[in-house]
Amino acid sequence: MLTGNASSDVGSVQAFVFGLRGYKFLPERHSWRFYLGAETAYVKTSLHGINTNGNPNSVATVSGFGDTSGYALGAFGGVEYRLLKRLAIDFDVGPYLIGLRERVTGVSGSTLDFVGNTAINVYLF
Amino acid sequence: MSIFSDRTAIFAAAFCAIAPATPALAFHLGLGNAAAAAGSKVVNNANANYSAINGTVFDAPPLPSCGSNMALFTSAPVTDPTFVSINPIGHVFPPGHTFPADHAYFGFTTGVSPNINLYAPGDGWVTQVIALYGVGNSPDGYVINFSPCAEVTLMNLSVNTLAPALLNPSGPASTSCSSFGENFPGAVASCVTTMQLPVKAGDLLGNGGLVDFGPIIDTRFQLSGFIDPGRHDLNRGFCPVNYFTPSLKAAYTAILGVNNGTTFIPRTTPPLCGTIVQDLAGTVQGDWFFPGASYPPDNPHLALIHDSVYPSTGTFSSGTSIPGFVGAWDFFPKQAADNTRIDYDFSLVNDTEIYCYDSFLIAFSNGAGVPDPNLVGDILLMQLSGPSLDTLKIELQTPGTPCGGAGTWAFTSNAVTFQR
Repeated sequence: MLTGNASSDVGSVQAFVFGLRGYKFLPERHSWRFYLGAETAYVKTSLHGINTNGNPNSVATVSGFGDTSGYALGAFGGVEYRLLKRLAIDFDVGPYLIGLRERVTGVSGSTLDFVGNTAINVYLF
Repeated sequence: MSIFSDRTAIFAAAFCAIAPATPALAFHLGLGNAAAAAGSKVVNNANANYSAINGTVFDAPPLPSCGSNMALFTSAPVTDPTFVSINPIGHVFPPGHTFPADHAYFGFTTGVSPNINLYAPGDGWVTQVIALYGVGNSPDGYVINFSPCAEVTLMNLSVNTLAPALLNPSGPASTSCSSFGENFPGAVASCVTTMQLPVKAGDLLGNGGLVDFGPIIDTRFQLSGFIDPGRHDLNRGFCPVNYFTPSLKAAYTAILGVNNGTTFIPRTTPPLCGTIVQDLAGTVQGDWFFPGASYPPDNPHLALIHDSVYPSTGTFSSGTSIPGFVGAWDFFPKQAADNTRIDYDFSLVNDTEIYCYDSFLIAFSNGAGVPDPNLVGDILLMQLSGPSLDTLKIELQTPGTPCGGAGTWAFTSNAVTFQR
C-alpha cells in the first residue's frame, strides 16, 4: 500500500494505492544491478479539510464529494546497490498512467507522469 | 522497504512514501503522491464545472461570487402602485413567529396582493421553487428562492401563480415531493424543485400572493449580538432593502413601516429595517428557549422584546409553553425603575427579584391595541436566576386584580422555566 498527499482547490487530497510489481533483473556487477519492470495498481483518493471558500453553491458541500477511484499503470527502470549480503537500496523511475473518476459528479481524468520510487530491500533467502 | 525472495521477483508492493505535493505533469517521488496529484486534478475539474444547491448537484459552474458588492438588486420586485410599505424585519406572530421574524413583508394598501406581479430584483438565478399543496391536486401557491450570486439568497418569495419559465425550467432541475408542507399555513404537501435557472432583472417570476420579503441569507456576514450565537443561523436575517441600488434603497427605506390601509406609519428608530437580534445580556430582554425543545421551529419558545415598528413598545411573544399565554401582547413599559418592579421595560429587569406585568394590549401589526379582555385581571410574574441570569422562571396567574405589591408575588407549580 502506498499513500500520498496533494492539495486541491477545496482541500487536501489523500491517496491510497494497492498494487503489484513485476521485475526483471539484469546480472549483478560490482554490487550494482539494473532492472526493468511494470506495475499495476488500484488507486483511491479522498478529500480532507474541505474548504469551499465561503461558496454555498460549491459542489464540495455535497457529502462524499472528492472521493475518486481508478487505476495506475506504469513501467520503470532502475538500479539496485547491494550494501550487504542481504541488504540493498534501489531507485527506479518510469512513466505512469493514472486514471480516476470522482464519485459525486462522475468527472474523470487521466494523467501521464513520471514517478520515481526508492526502496530498501532486505533479502530473506 | 521491500522483501525479496529471489533475484527475479513478483510481489505485492508494500512500502509507504509520503512527500510534499509536487506540481502537475512533473516528476513525483512515490506513486502515492502521483496518485494524489492526479486526484487533485480531477477534484479541481469537478469543482470548477459543477455546482450544488441544497445537495442537488448540477452540471453547471458554481454561481459567481458576490465579492463585496451590496447593490445586487437593481430592479423593483413589485411595481404595482398599491405597494406602499415594507414591514421591517422583527415582526412576531406566535407560535410560528415567536422569535422576531427574519424577513420583512410587502405591504399593500389593499392588504393582499391577488393580481400583483413579482419580478426578479436583479440579474441572477432562481435556485428553488416550492409548490405548496393544500387539499387537492393543484398547487395553492409557490415559494421562490432567488440568488444574485453565490453567497446571497433572497428566500420565500411567495406567489399564487408561477411564471411559465419557472414552471418548466430549462436546464438541470431536480424535484422532490413529500407530505411536508414546509411549515407554510394550510400546506399539507409540497414539491421542491431545485434548479439553477438564469433570470434577468425585471423578468416575471409570478403573480399574486406576495407576503414575505425575504429572509436574506448572506454567507459573507454574520449577525452578532445573540447571547448564545450557537442557537441561531447567523447568516440569515439581513435586511433586503440594503441589497438594492442606491436609488431603490432610498425609496424603500422611506417606506419601512406599516400601513393600515389609509395611513403609512414609518419606523423612525434605527435600524429602520428592524432587527432580529434583541438579546440584552444580564437582563430579561430577548429570546428565551424552552429547555430540551429544538429550534427551529419557534413554537415552544418565548421572546421578550420590542415592537418592530414601535420599538418603545414592549412585546410579549409567547409560544406554546406558558399555560394560558400563547400569543403576542404589547405593553407600554416604564423606561425607568420606580421601585415597584411592575411593567418595567425588559432591559430594566436585571436582577433576581420577581417582576410583575399586568398590562396586556392586543398586538396589531400597526401598533398596540386595546387591553385584551381575555387577560384583564391576569398578571405575569417573571424572575431571573443563575450566575449570568440565564434562566427565567415565568408564570401567568389570574388573581383578578392588578399586580399590587411585591410582597404578594409568589410562583406556583405552574411556573415555566426558559433558558438563554
